[in-house]
Amino acid sequence: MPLRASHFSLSMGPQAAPRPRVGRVLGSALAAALALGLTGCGDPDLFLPSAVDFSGPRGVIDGTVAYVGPAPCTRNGKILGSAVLLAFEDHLLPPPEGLGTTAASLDVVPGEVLFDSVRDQLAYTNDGTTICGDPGSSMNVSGTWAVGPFAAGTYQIRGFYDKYGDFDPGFSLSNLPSKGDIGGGAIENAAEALQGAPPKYREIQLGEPDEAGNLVIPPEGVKVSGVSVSLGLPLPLERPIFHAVDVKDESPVANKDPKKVTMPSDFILQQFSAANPPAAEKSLIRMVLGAGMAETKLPQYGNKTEAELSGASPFNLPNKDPFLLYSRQDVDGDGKITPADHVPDSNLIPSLFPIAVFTKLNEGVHIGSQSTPTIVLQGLTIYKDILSTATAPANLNVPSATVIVALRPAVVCIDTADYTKPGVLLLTHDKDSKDNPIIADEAPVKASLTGLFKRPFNIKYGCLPQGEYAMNLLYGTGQAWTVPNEAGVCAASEAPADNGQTCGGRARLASQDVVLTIGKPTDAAYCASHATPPECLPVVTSE
Amino acid sequence: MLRTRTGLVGCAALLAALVVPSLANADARTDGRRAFKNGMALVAKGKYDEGIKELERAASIFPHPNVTYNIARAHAEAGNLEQAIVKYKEYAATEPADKATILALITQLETRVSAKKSFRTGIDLVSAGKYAEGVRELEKAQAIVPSPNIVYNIARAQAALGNLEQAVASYKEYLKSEPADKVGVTAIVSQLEEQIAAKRAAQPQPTDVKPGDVKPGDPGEVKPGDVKPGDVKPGDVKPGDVKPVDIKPGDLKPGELKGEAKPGEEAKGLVGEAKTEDIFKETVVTASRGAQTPLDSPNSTTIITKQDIQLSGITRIPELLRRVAGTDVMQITGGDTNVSLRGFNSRLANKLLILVNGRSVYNDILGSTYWETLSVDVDNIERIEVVRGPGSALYGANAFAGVVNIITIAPGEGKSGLRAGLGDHLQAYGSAAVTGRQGSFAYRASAGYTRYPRWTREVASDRKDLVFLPGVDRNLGAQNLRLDLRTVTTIDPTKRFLLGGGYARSSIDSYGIGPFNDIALNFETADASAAYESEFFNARAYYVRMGVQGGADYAYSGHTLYPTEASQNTMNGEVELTRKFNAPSFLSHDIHLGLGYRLKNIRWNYLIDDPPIEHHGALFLQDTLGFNKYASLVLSGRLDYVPYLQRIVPSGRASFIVKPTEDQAIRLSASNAFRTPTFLESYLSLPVEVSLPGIELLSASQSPDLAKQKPFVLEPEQVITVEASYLNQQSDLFEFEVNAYYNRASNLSLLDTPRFISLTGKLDGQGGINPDTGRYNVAYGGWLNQCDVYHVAGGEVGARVYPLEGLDLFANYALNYSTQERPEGCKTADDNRTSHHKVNAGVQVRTPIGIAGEVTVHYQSAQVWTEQITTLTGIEARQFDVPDYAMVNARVGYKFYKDRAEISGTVFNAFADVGGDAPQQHPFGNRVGRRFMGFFSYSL
Repeated sequence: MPLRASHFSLSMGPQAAPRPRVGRVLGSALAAALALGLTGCGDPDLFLPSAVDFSGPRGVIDGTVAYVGPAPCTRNGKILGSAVLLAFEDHLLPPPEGLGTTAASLDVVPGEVLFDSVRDQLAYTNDGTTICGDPGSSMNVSGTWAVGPFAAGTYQIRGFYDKYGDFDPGFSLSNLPSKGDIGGGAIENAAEALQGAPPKYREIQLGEPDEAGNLVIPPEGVKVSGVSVSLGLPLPLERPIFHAVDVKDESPVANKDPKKVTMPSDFILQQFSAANPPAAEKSLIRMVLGAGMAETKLPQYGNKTEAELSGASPFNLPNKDPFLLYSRQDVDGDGKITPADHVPDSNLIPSLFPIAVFTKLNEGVHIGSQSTPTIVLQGLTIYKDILSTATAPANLNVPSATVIVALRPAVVCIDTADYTKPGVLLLTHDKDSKDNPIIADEAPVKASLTGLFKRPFNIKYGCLPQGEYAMNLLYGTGQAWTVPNEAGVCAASEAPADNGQTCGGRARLASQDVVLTIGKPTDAAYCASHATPPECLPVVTSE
Repeated sequence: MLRTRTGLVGCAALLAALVVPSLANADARTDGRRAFKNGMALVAKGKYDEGIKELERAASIFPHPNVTYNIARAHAEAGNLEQAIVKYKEYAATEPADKATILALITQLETRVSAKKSFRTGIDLVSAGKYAEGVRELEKAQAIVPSPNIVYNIARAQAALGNLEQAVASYKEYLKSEPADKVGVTAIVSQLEEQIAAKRAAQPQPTDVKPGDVKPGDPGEVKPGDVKPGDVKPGDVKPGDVKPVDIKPGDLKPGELKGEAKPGEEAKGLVGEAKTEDIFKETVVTASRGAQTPLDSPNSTTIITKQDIQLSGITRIPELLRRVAGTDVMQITGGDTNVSLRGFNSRLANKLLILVNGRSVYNDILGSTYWETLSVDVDNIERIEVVRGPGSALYGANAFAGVVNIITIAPGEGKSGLRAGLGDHLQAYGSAAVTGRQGSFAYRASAGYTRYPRWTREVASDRKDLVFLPGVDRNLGAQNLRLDLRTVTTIDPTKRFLLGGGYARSSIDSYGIGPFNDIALNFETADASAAYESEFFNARAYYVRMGVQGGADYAYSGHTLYPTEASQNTMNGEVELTRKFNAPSFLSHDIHLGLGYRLKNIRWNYLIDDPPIEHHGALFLQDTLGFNKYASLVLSGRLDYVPYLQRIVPSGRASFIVKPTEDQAIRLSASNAFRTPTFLESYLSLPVEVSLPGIELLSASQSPDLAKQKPFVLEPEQVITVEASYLNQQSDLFEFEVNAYYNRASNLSLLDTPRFISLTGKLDGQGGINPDTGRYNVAYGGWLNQCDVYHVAGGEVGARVYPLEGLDLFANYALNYSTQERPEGCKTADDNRTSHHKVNAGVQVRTPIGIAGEVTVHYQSAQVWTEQITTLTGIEARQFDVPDYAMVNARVGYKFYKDRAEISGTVFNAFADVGGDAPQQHPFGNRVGRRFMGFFSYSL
């Protein structure tokens, strides 16, 4: 039956090729290879893309915030304000310990959260009015917070409760505490501080010392937990809101317009000698800064003054009876005002609040941009005149409609991103035009700056970095005011109009758009031979 | 180090296994074609046995109903009716268009088989001397299939029974057929008549009967010896004929029903024409919504075949696409792969429309494709069609850079079976499929599971500075459990009804945009689809649901993990009329006219509270104008109504195809496409925490600061493409394609840089503390259309060569260069995220001893990505380099147990860390390292 046999084989499909032994051998080899491959079990390797350091080991801090103070304010059924916790790196502490104005991190505990446990004890309205608790009352509540991530370093936590809900970190007008807010921080001597002692802020170390003693973050990161923040110190002052009122300039530059004060980059003091304080005073360009806003009228707004307009939305600034408070600064932080608390460049002149600081702006940008490196011109706060300043009592506490700030022809240049880089104190000249030395002894000046900025300092002589400088007044509470600010500068989305009186949909307060200018040198040859050192030149970040 | 050495050993073993075979079977499709051609030629020459063997080989290499049909036909022609019936039934079970004809044929053949049985039984009985019973059987056979030979044999048996009159009558009936042995039979008739006459004469009345006369009905009176050998010449009788002269007890040989017919002639009138069309030529359906060869496709189309999938051993669908020229495949995590074509890839690749059997799996929330959420198993994929270039003219929005259509094995097709695999780092794969038919109903059900680890982890579990999303396996890249059931009911050969559904549950480690890095997501996806298909009318409806939960895998302590919860429900409907006609007579038309509808109902906590339910509508028309066999013009147009835009967006395509020969095509095409804003882009409202935990920016499509001016509308991304290509499939030894294209892309969307809230904004109530998050809102973000225009020029060249049986080589190269045209004031960063050069090459080998495998090499040149990242103050663009990299993947498998079982091993990125660290495919992505995996499969 060969035909049937043939058909049978066809029905089973093509004859399978005989599998030689090699196939089985290869099969075994394959299985062995697979078995080898399967041995690679375990966790995947750790790899953090270097392109962007999204999630590298860092330091974080968390803890609790305890509020002890009057009942919070309420409006429209909501608890106003929030506890604001700010972390500062110890190289950039805020005044009076340093000149830092930017926190390394910030966290917020909304009043709705912080006071949730006592909300039944609060009074509420729904008509838009604000109800605040009795200033004499006391509530004790707490909440939790966390800040970070941080690079290795030492940090302090400061904070306040924004009582009236007017804090807003988006605007320099409202990014610091104001009168009535409840200040505090992670304070080691909280009890004493509540009684008026200078607060000693806890130094929180993130990282472990390497062989060189520098702090480094270990691979598993660092978390410091349980940091207690106490808020219980009502702030008695409003921020040092100011505007430029006048300029006193007996120098050859002869500035007349307080809104356009210019100091040549090679400005030389005519006579800067302790032996002749009045002459030394006259050698300096002095700006007179007035409390509050200017009384300039804005026709577009019914001839209301800037001061009047500043009290309304969107500014919401305190505008009744403004003043600036002169007081002595405890420079060495010993809790006492002594003759040792003087300015760096003269042990005869005490350091006074409000501190005046001029910070260089990026070219053409008036808001929100400090140059890199940070360049600071420290003003000299003068109480009446230089003699009165020198003799200011330890308990000086004088409200004033104006503050006099003398412009030192010197800047401090620091790289805030690298604390190992020495700072530079750059003076235009080592001597005045009479050949008197500007700094008789550099050592204490360096020591003073090192203490303030927590880095070594060099003193150099050359022309100052040209450009526009923002003006800042600072109180010892950390409260400060900066000009230019949003009130005077139109944002990109706010089209200027009405001959400079309007930004977008709101009034422009022109007094809040004033800068100090370090201008061209009067002697170009001097700047050619005494060029601005590279530490004080802008970092080029793009082509 | 140990792992490295282990990997190299494993890789060497795999490569050694690959170089051993010297004998080879060719590429399946080409092999099949060759065997088919040989088989058909042999059958045509009447060499049925050899021809059938070749056809059977073709069927085993590349099963196709037409091959089965031709095998059946050859059997029938060879007279092997039983085998023919078996094959015809097998063919009919595939529900072919000519099923009714085939069933009728089967009936006829079965009748003939029945007649043949009666005939043989009758002959056997006659041979055994049981003449009466034999006559009855023969008469049965004669009644079913009348035949002279049966009549002859009846006559002979009647004669043996002594029924001389009946015998004579039957012999005479036989003689009417003018048989070759007419003389001999006539002599027999004469003898019988003489005997009858003598018998009658011997009877007393009416005539005398002489002694010795044969009496009618006197058995034994007729003996074979009664017929003299000289009366019938042996040459007059064909083998198998049964004749009285031959008959001795046990002498009868089974004869054919038609003794005079050659084998096969008997069935010639029944079996019809052979099916000789080249069913081994690739067919695509995506580029023009109808089956056609790539030569006729209006767009450049590449097919990833089942063989490619099987031999590669790759279980990730997007990784299969890497071999396609011009494709950008980028693995960011172990579970997140992004794919684009001819550039424009991104962390959320959104410019490629992905279809599964024509059903869109587009993620309307993000626009991206989460490949590991599909319910499709690679083992159930028949082929993947990759259509380069805009496809909006047919598919509407989002077919921006191309279309990928994953076509699964049809219900009732393929084999039932399972595969299971394990790999290092706890890779796992499992799949099982059952396929079957019951009458006109066919089904295919599958279940699968995959687990891919992360390539690398960004953070260790012991990090103190982080908080982690609970319940996340931080070694997991992706995990997918899937079920899929598809059915088809054939109503008649031109009408069928499809019904099916799928479900998948997945966990994925993904990357988003902006601040969203390393996101852990849990998906539940499901679809239900129904379709009616006929010659002139098609309708389809499907529902897709996707539910997502998750958030950032980790964040610094005190920062948000952005918990997310989203649901997408889409309902799609489409009707299409198709018609072919000539008008005027020299111009053929193939018209597709359709209406489409898509409902999108999406809820997501990152969006505005109550995003609208969108109702999209579309009208499309395509006409393929055939001028002659050398030239055709495909014109396509579509109008899409986009609710977000509140207007109609047109798309078009014109493709002119010239075919100098049947297997060559030159194509010139121009088309445009658009990508409509996703829900993320249309309705985003998400507070994004900046590095300072107490501050946020509101990233919103309709942020308050813009809304005051006028409602912001993000325009759809647009692309215009001009393309020229040449495809040559002339030879069985190779095929070759070259494309050149130019893309003009505009209105690309990206995250806007932060717009800080102004005092005017504050006056309008903007900013302040967000009661929901407890953070201060200081800025707004959102989307905007890029102001620059991309001009992209490039091309692809690729070839596939089959130099020897079993050896298949392929290689392709893609070139891509782009420039950005910036109008005055437009300041966008340079972007070179697409490699200028990409090369893919591979070798596929199949041996007759059951060993088969593939080695592929992929190279792409360096890239520079401009990415938007979150900084202290918001979001900004920065550039990042991605160095060039190469990947080598390999697989080897060994089949045994009648080819039903197979063990195989794969190595992915075999030399990942040779000469340095494993490569990143995105600047933020994992290092994509080497992985081994072993599989066992068994098919029924």
